[in-house]
Parts: sequence; C-alpha cells; structure tokens
Amino acid sequence: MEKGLRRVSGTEIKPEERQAILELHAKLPGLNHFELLGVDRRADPARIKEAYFELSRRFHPDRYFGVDLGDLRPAIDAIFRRLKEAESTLSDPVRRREYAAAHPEARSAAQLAQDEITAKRRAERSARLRRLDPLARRALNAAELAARGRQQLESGSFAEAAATLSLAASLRGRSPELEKAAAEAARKAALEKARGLLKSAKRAELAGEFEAARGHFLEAATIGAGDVSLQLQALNGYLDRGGDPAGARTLVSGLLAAAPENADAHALQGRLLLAAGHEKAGNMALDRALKLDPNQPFARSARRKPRWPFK
Amino acid sequence: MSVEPTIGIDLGTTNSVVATVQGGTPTVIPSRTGNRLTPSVVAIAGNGKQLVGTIAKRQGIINPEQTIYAAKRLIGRRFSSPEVQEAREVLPYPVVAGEHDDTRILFGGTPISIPEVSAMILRELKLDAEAFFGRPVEKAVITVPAYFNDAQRQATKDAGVLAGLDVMRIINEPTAAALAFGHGRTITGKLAVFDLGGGTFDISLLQLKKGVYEVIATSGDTFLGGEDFDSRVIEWLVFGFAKELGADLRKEKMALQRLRDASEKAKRELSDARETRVDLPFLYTMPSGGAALHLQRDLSRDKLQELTGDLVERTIRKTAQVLADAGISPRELTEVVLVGGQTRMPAVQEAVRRFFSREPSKGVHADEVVALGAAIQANALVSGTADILLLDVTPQSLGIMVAGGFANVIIPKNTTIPTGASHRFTTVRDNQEGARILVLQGDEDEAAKNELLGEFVLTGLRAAPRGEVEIEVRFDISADGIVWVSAEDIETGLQQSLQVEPSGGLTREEMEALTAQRDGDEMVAPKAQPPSPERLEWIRRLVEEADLLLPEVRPTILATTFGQDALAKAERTIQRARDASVGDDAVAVEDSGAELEKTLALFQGILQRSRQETGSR
Repeated sequence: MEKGLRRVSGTEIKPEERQAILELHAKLPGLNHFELLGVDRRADPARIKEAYFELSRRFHPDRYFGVDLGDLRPAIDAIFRRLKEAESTLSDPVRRREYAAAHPEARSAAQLAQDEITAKRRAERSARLRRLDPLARRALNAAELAARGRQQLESGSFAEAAATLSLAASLRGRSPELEKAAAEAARKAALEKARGLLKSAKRAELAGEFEAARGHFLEAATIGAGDVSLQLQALNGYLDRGGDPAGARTLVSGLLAAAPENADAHALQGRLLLAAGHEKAGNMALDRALKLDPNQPFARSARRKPRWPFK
Repeated sequence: MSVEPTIGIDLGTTNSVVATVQGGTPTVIPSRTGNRLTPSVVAIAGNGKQLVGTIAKRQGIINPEQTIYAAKRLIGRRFSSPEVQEAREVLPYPVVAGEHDDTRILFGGTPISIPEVSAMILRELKLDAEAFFGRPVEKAVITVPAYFNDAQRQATKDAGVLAGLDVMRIINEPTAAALAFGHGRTITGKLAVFDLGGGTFDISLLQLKKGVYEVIATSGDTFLGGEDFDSRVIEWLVFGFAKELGADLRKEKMALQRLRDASEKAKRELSDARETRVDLPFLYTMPSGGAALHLQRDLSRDKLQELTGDLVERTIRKTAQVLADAGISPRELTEVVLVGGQTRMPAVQEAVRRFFSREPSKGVHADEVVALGAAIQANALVSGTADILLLDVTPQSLGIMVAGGFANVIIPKNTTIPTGASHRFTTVRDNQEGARILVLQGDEDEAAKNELLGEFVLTGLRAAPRGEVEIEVRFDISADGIVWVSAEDIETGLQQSLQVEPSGGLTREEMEALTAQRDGDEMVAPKAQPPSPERLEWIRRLVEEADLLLPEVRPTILATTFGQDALAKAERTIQRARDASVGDDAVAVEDSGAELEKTLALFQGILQRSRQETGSR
C-alpha cells in the first residue's frame, strides 16, 4: 500500500504519464472498442472486464488524485468514459452484436473464426498450387492466367481453358467472374468429351464390342449433363446394348429434372421402370410421354394394348 | 519526506469510528479515553459545557432535551420533509425550522444546523487522530449510506469542512466495507454487502479483481435501521406499561430515554441469550402522586423476532430487488458480507442465509469495517499508486423535468462515475423564449417527488414554432461526484451551465412552486418522442367520442350568442386531436388530448342540460 512516495496536493504529473494520456486521448477516435481495450475480437466477458480493470488502473482520474492535471483532466475523463463505454458495450451480448454490425472490422467471434479458417485454407491451397504447377509458378499473377484461359476458351481448347481458369480463380481468391468462366469452360470441355465418347460408343457398337459400347454410352451420359439429346442418345444406346437399368436410374432422374417436358425422357424412364419390373409405374411414365407427344415411338409401341372383346 | 497522515471516518447514526492505514495495515484509532467507538452524541450539560461522545451519551438520561443523537437522520433534509416531521415525533430534543426550511436544533438556546452537530463529532474524532499521530491531521474520507442523495452528501462534506478536515472524498458505507473486506484477501468475483446499521439499510453489489472494486449496483432505505428495531421494543414496553398500570409514558422524555437505552441493551443481549429482562425501577410517578412505578418485563428472542419480523422482511425485499435490477442471481455471488451492528441479530443472519443460500461472511468486525475501508480509500487516493482502485456509481438517477411535470432521466442510477450523457429536448410553445432546466435527482416518474438539485433558464431562444428549437442538455459527473449541467441551443450555440450546489436553501413551497410549472411557458419536452400505444388509443377514443357528440350539440351551441365562434373552436380542437392521433409526437397527443377532454366535458354539460330541459317540459 505504501509503495513509493505519497503525493501531495498540487504535485506535477510525471512527463511519461502525461505523454501516455495525451497519446491515448489523441488516438481515441480511431480506435474501436476492441483495439481500445487491447483485446482479441473473440474475447469473452471475463477478459473484457480484466482489460477494463487493468486500463482503469492507469486511466481512472483517481489514479492522479491530488495531482495538478490542468489541461489533462478532460483528456483523462474522456479516456475513462470511453473505457467504460467499451467495456459495457462488449459485456452485453445484444449491444455487442449491434456494435459488431455497425463496425464490420469488429465482427462477431464466430464469424471471425470462420473467416480466419477460410482465409487460411485459401492461402494453403494457393501455396500448394504454386509449389506443384510449373505454369502457376511461372505465371506472375492470376491475371495472366485468366487472360490465357479466356484465349483458350475462344480457340475451343475447352479442357485446357478450364484448367487454366480454375487455377487463375484459385490464385486470385474470391473472384466470381473467374470462377464462372472456369465453370463454363469445364462444362464445354465435358460436353466435348461426352460427344467424343458417344462417337467411340457407336464405333464400338458397329465393331460388335457391346461391353465397351455400354461403358462409353454410360460415361457419355454421365459427363454430358446439360445436353439433353446427347444424354438421351447415350442412355438409350446403353439400354439397347443390354446395360443394367439400375446403373442408369440416377442419370434418368437427373435428366427428367433438367427437362421435365421432354417426352423422350419420360419414355426412357418408362422403359427403365418396365425393364426393372415396375409395370404400373412404367406404364404411368409412358402415358406421361404420350401425353406430351402422342407420337413418341417407344411409348406408342409399348402401350399398344390388346383390345379385349367385351362379349 | 514525512508522510502526511490520512484518516477514514465512519460517521454513524449511533456510533462513529475513525481509522487509518499504518504500515500497510488498516487500524482503528482509539479515542483518547481508549474507546474504539465514539457515540454520535453531543450534549450541553447543566453547567453549559459542550460534551461529545461517551460522556454526552452517559448524561443523556438526565438531560434528554439537550442531548442530540441520531443527527444523521436529519442531515441534508428539509424541515418540511415528511422524514424530519416524523423524526420530530420521536426525538426528545427540539427540532426547529431554519430560515430556508433547513432543519435546525435548539442547542443551548441557539438554533444550530445539522452539519454543525455532525462537525462536533467529527472534530472529536479529528482530535483523537491527532493525539494518535502526535501531529495535525486533515485529509479524510467520510462514509455515508449508499442511498444518501446529493444534499445529504453535501451536508456531510460541509460538516467535515466545519470540523477543519480536508474531505477528499465521500464514499458509500457498503463500498467501504467491501474495501476493508477485500483487504489482504484475494477475492475475485461478485460480492454483496448487506449493511444494516443504526439508522439505515444499504445493499451493494461489487465486482472485485486484484484490487479493483467495481460497484455494480447499490440501493437501500435511509429509514430502516437498528433504531427502528429499538422503537418496536419501546412501543411494546410502553403499551404493556399502559395496559398494566394505566400510565402513558409517551410524553415522558426522561422515561423514554431510559426505555430507549434499556431496549437497545435488551436487543443486544438477545443476540446471544434466548431471554432477557428489562428492569427499570422508579420509572414513573403518576401525576396524581403516589409511589413511583417500576417497569419489569421479560423479553424472549422469539418475541423480539415477532416484533421486528416485518423490518427484516423489508431488508430482504430490497435485496431481492437490487439483485433483480442488476440481473444477478443470489447464487452467482462469491461472498456475502454482513456489516452494521444490527446484523448481529440471529434473525437477520438467518434471513440473509436463507435468501442467498450461503453462510454470510463474518470475517469482519461489523462496527469497524466501514471506517477501515474509508481509511483504505483515503490512503489509496493520496498514495498515487494503482494498488486499490474504486469504481463507484451514481446512487440515484439524474435528469430534468419536462413538460407535464415528469422527470426525464439523463444519467440512470448505478452508472459508473466519472460519466457524462446528453439528451435532446425541444420547445413546447410557439416562439418560446426560454428553456427552464430543473435538475432532479431520484427515481420517481413524477418530478415533484424527486430531489431538486438546482435550476437555471436558457434564455434568448430564437422565435420558431414549437418543437423546432432543439436544446441539448448535458450532464457530467466527475469522479468526486460533482454534477455539472449544461443546456445548449443546437442551432445558435447559445449555452448555459450550472455546477450543482446543495439546494438546502429551497423551501418545500418553493420546490412545489417550481415543479408546478409543469405546463409553464419555459418547459421543454423530450425530442421526437413517439406517443405510447396506450396514449394513441386514448386520443383516438376521445376523437371518436367528439365525432359522436358534435352533431347532437351543434344546434344547442349555434343557438347561443357566440355559437359560431364556439363551434369553430370546438371543431379546431377536434381536428388538432385527430391530426395528433395519426402523428408521432407524444407532446402533441398530450396537449391536444387534454384540450379535447375539456371540450368534451363542455359537450357533456350541454347535453345534460338539454336533456333536463326536454324532461322538465
């Protein structure tokens, strides 16, 4: 309790104390509550209180009782009030949330944790890519990659464009445009590949290599999502060549979701269901196909019912 | 450099204690006669000699009219206040009115102020301290009940100054108790101080960590203490005496004084014993003469508890309320400290134990702990180190009066000081020239029920329709509790300010006259306050009623001499209320609604009369 000398009224303030008060007072407007208290943005109420208590020891006017503060008095009063304001705001969950909303740089603890993880992951990924890919290492910046990718896209090298653009997107960080361009390139590349596979399947069919044909048909249908007629061709080819109906079921559902008004798709579903032994459901699907297109060949032939004589 | 001594003083209702910090240890300074407690009693003996403390108390029985005790109950209060009037009934010494409705006591033939009485006690304590240190002592911290208002604090400070002390700070008794309790212990967490002293009850909640004491909330009752417990015993004895012997002791000052001492003694004894006997021989002689009557009665602990059960209940109710206000559950507390002599009563301890579901801490000397805490704060203030820091709060809300006679809080109670806050207000009249700022302290909605700390008028407002001139009223409270109020016309920068001084010079009538100007020309209203749903509903119903009645009364009104004018005026009033009922200005709703109510009363009168006329025809 009796450390050091006691003060007598009218004592002068120490120069370093004066300096500390003036400096903090000057900085007050630029500091958010977290910075003022010197706490982490995720600090819990106990930590907030502790920081407030510690700073109060230095900046409560009573610390300088009997000291001739002069022009420093308003400054130290202002500092303490801000400390109290910071503490009471951050100790109240509701007010803390409001404050965080009004001060985006002082976001909530959970958001900040999430942000941090995302940022860390992104950095790791770029680092890994830079380490592995010679192209990425050579490219001085993502912009260069992006430009190259767009060129490849235009020249029709979809697969390369997709690779370059996704690399550029991952290097640049959050860039919706690049990501969109990369996805577009990837889609085009996939369709190109699917068309190639369809050709190979038909070639295999002609050569009598039905097993290879089934595999190509199924793969073409899988990666050809987005091109309905290609998928229909591929799936019908797959079933024509004795493919397992179960292997096509998911693809057909996807197809129907993409083209709900397509009679051929409904007919295909009917075919699939009949092949799997679900007669009632299969017929219903075929009826839907006929409703959309009365001339749908498969459905017409399959639903041609024998007319029973009533007598 | 030689160290200047500092002292802490617990200026109690019944007893006072002075303490200091020596070699890092808080210690009570014994009186020159060797007592640790000094009775808060002053007297003028038959020989004209002024007596203070133990000797004053000792001769009280034979000199009741010139033996002043419990002056703390009167300090800082107006003579006309109900508290003082009530106290006059039971105090044997003459309490009279001063020139400005201040309270005075006829002491040795002259009316002296209450701070002067308290100063006599403080001077005695100062002398004790000086004898102890062997040198002059000036710097002091004095404690007051947490719920003392500004006037009471100021009067206590005045008493210190009159006694030749440099009062560095006035602090709250429970806070001081917490400082003493925390001294030398490492307590982290929340602490409750339950302080039931001679005259007052205080409950305070504090948060402690490494020498920083933060007051979270404080509340209390300035008219609930050990003396109320004594009074219950006295009443019981007086009643029994009257029933048994047919003698009324209530007007016998000397007998009452003996009863008071005996009751207090019996009460104390029952803290340890289960039963005691009040024995007062030769207490009273009938006016008709005859032998002197003796009083002899057995009092059990159970009987005492029965007599005072509701007082204990009141302390618990207040405690529950302050915890609820602070949003703290009784179980969250790390310690509950009992302070004040009355907490020795087993029934009080039991009630506290039950409420908090924990054993209250008794590691402190209930009579001395407050003075020790005051000494710790005094030492901390002058030491210039940051080992002990007290973060104190405003005990009551501060605000101003607004139109309608309501109190508008600007700094709510239990706000950590130093602090500052401002609110915006607007004018309530067209071309209003001035804004009258009445500074209020207290927690009542009605302005008149609060303490008036001061007033000033911001004049020279620019001419503008009502509601257009904006006035910012700002309150600042420094660490030592001094209040500054300023009002500023936002647009012109015109400013007025006031440092709040004790307003003891104001009579009850003046206060009433001031607060009666609730509709005066210089009132202000809170800025852009939307009306409450209830008030909107109220004014809507008024407008509906007016719409219904108007067609019925129209012919009658038109038939009178000023019919046209009167009807036009009524229609204007209704229209104004209709506008307000869809607007968002609470003041407009109140004003136009009140106007419309008058108009409606008029309509009712007209209708009644016309019905009577048709009936009589």
